[in-house]
Amino acid sequence: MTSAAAAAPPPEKGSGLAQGIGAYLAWGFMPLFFKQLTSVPAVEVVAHRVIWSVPLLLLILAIRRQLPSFWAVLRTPQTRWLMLLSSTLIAANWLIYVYAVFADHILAASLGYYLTPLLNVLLGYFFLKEGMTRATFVALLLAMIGVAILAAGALDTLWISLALAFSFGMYGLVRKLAPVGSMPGLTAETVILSPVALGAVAWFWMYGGSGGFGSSLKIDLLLIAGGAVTAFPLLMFAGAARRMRLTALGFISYIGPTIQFLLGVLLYDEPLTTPRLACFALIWFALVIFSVDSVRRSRRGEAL
Amino acid sequence: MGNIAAWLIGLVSAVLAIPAVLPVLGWLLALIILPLPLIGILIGSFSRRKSGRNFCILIFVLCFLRLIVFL
Repeated sequence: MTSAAAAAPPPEKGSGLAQGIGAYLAWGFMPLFFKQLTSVPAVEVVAHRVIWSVPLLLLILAIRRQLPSFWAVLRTPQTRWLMLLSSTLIAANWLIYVYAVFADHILAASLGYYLTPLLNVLLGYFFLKEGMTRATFVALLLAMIGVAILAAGALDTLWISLALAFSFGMYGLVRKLAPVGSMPGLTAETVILSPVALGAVAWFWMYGGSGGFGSSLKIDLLLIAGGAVTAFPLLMFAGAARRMRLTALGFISYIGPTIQFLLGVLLYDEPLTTPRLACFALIWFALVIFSVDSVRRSRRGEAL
Repeated sequence: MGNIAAWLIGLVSAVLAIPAVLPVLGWLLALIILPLPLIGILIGSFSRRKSGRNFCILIFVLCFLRLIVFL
């Protein structure tokens, strides 16, 4: 054990941890929320999520006095184009996620989010010229074997996992290139998406069948609550990300997919076939190697 | 400390793995005991002595083989 106070703990560490865990608990239990909306088309759910997020996020920004940085994001030509790209990616991610929950593929979604940290390393290696340790390479190899097993044995839902992981990984990459805070960034994205979302909602309002917005008070309230479901976990995450170390945040980020995995298997009785379990086991093993490696590096004081 | 903890976790998973050899109990036990040795590997990795970690790797590999061979 060589944990000799290498780095002083960041200030307010305790409250950061609680906020981080809160954010990932909320993200983990999110399928429970979307399962209430299965009568609504997935596109309409996401459109409402975008629309109702906008006023709430603007309000939060106003309270936190971050409105100037939000305007700056949209005014600067470079970040504006990057935000257009990241909005497309997050829209795709939300859409696939809601579809996965609706189509009883929560397990596939969970696998996608377990893959994300490993994919981030791969994307960083190829696009940002970041280094890769031998341990990370072994972890990536194991994860790839896991994905290959799934491709051979359960190809039907593999695209969901990969599309979620890639859209979220690319989203993270674009956000890394654009120096934008998480709250002003998401506000800019939802504002950019809102014309399209309004169009979609209008179309469903006029031509959509029953079951969408206006079909019952419960559905309406749930669709409106989609804004809060989007904004509050992110608010907690933003608070945690400022106070916590990246390695610690990486560890608790597995709370999200783990809750989704348990919900899928235990509550929604999704079939956990052998190839799927084998894939999960290999990716869990890969994540153990990856986590041990990142803790070692952060103790040595290397940049992550 | 980490090494001893890893050994204990490895032993518990090894004992739990014995009934999992039965075809009927297979997948549920595999689901419960596959993460266990992984936790052992994680804890054992932060100790200077590596025997506990290696034992957990062995148990994990055996459970994994059991999973893909029998099911």
